[in-house]
Amino acid sequence: MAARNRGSASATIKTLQKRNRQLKYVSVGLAIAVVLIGIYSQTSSINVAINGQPFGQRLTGINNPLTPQQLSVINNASDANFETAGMMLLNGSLPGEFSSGNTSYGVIQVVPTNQIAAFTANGKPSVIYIGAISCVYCGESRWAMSLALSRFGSFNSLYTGYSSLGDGDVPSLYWKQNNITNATVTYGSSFSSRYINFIAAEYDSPITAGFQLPNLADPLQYYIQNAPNATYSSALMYMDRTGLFSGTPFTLWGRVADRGAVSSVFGPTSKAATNTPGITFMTQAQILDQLKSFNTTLALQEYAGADVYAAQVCPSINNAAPICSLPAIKSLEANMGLA
Amino acid sequence: MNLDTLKKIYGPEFLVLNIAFAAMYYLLLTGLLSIQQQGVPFTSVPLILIYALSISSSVPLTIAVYSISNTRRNNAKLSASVSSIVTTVGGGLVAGCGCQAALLTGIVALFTTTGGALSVSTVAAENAPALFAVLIVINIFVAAYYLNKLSKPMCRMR
Repeated sequence: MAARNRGSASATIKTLQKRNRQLKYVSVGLAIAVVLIGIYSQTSSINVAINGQPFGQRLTGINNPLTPQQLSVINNASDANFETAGMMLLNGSLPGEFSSGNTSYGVIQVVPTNQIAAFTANGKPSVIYIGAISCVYCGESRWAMSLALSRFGSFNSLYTGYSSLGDGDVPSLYWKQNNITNATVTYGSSFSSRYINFIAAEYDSPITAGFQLPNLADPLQYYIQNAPNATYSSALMYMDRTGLFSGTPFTLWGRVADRGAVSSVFGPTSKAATNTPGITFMTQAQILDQLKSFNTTLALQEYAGADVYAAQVCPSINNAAPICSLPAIKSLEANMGLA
Repeated sequence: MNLDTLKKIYGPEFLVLNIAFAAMYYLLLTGLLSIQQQGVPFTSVPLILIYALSISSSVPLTIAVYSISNTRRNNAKLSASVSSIVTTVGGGLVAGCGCQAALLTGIVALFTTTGGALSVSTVAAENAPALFAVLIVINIFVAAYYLNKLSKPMCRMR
């Protein structure tokens, strides 16, 4: 009897010891999780904005129209800048992320493209843009896209914007004033051109959250269902039918469909140690100043990205726009198999 | 956690080995990110979580290597090393989620619609820091579990 009791007590002690050990593991795990979450919450509120506003809360300068001087940087960009940057891209002298002595992360893709039939409306081929304000690649590539579009027409207005806090928080341009608090789609822009249509659809979501798209089996259906007119509806259905959608930005440049951004310029590498894109630490005004002065790696890369987009459009308008006659653009067309 | 076992394992040799594993996992994580982000290793996950996952993944792997030659019975050599690799690759996939070119989107799209895959990628991108914390905790539990096993008589270290 006594032996059985001793055995039972021993088993109980062992069970308790086992439980204690498990409790220790859980406690240590939870403590570490709490510390990590605490560290994360601190790092996400690091003040990185040039203007002193906290990371992800730079809402006071959002949706503001560019000043006439700022808009002129886009609308009146010099063809010489496009030629210089395009040639540097072609001959490999454009500073890139892996080049020695580079000062700015940038990836410009000059690759064979997805060629499809142009979407024509009003007798003109179209540039179709499907994006999301929360998306870092959309936000970044709108700089190069707006430069490229300006070679075929002009913008009456553009607006200051950002990608979302959870996706880079990079300063950007918006085609129109976007809804930064609710899920919706903003259609259109102030762009006008004798050569092309510009059909833009931007998914809006809370700018303080992360990257978001409509939660549907086919997210493009959300863009289509809310289209403001038949042209937009047809254009978006056309894009959906290509079966090429795999994320944003999803664009059509004349006869070339781009899955993702052709141009990804993330700015000064000196800030890369924070794991945040360098341009997150810049304002729209600073980027516009660099595009105007055209004396930085970032500016060269943005113009080079714009060259690629322009070269994709040119064949669909029979090279009718002046930009299409630049040697750099012709060479890029050939490099992408478009000539 | 059995600190005596931990002390026995982490002599100078295995400390160096652990550091090498941590560096290897860091390169694996940033490599995965770089592939997905067009060569630019940026992510919405704070850098400190990348470091933390690399380090925490290296510990079970070190224990696994130690156990191969230093214990009578070896449960850790396969499960601890596999779990550390899985958590690291999982971290690389989660951290690379975003609006384009995510490997996770491509993998999930093999089994569902593009929209479904994008939804998974979007949710992962939004919750990336929390998912990283989970992966780190898994590594800690695996390490603690095998340290406990190694301290038992049947697995006692030589």
